[in-house]
Amino acid sequence: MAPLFYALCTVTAALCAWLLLRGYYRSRYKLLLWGGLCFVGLTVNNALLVADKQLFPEVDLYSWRLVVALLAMLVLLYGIIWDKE
Amino acid sequence: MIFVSRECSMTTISTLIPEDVAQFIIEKIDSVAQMEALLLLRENPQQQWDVTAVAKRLYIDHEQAGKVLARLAEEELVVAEPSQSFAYRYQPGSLVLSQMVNRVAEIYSEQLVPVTNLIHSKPKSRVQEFADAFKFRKD
Amino acid sequence: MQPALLGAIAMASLVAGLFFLRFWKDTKDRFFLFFSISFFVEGLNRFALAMVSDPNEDRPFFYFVRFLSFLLIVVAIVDKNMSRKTIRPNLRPAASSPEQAEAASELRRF
Repeated sequence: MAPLFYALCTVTAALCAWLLLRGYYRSRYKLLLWGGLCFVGLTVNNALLVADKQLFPEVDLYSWRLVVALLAMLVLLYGIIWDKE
Repeated sequence: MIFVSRECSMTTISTLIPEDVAQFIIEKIDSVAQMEALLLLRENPQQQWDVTAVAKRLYIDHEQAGKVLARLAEEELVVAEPSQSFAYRYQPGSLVLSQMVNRVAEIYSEQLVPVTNLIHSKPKSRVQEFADAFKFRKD
Repeated sequence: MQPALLGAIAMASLVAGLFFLRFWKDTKDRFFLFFSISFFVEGLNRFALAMVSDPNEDRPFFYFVRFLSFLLIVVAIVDKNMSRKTIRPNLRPAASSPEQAEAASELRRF
């Protein structure tokens, strides 16, 4: 069950990333770029979670997954805090 | 037709801005200074304007003039001349845009107060665009 | 290191949730409310993972809460696309004559 739910999370995050980056491509509003990159990171984070069980030993990837998620969130916060518009 | 009746002081209630013109203003014009800059550059399409000259003509500060011109360039209403940095010239990206700006100029000259009210009724930040990015079809 | 990372992610999610809450207050667009709650929920999820001695993401609680936070985002997107408005609310007129009332009802098509 877990991989299914995390796969759905991955798809949702990917959709958000695509919509935000498409919006950035059209309007060049920076917040959309940072938001898009955040969701790219969250997509990777959740995708790795799905792949982790199947492909790699649990222990190796866990910390890296967390680093990716943290970086994704920091990118979003950076974008929001420095938004001048 | 868009009504801008409530905020209009003594102007008649039946003042009208055509819907497509109002949509253009909502999407592309963030401030009165930006509108004035657009129309200023449009008056002399062959002339290059640098930020300082625009700031002087519009009685705004240099930084604001820079932002306003950059925003107009972003919306493809003016172009930044590659030969000089910070010099801009009126050049809409398409014929449709050019025709729209002509109409906007006309409406602005006829109905200054409703148009400025429309501009001022917009929220200050662009954060709404974050939510709007999630619309599947561009409205 | 992992609890520290989880705590940092939880904190970042909560702060993001707070910012989205402010965006909701500023724009009155409930899209941001959904996002705010989503990030709050995910922040709590990460915090819970940090608190547990065996943080196993296979456990139903954790994957269900994560799924819930993303479901909120899906709800936000669906709600955003179901809305019929193309003109911003603060431009709606107060009709004060029969012609305007008629024209205003035309506007409500949007």
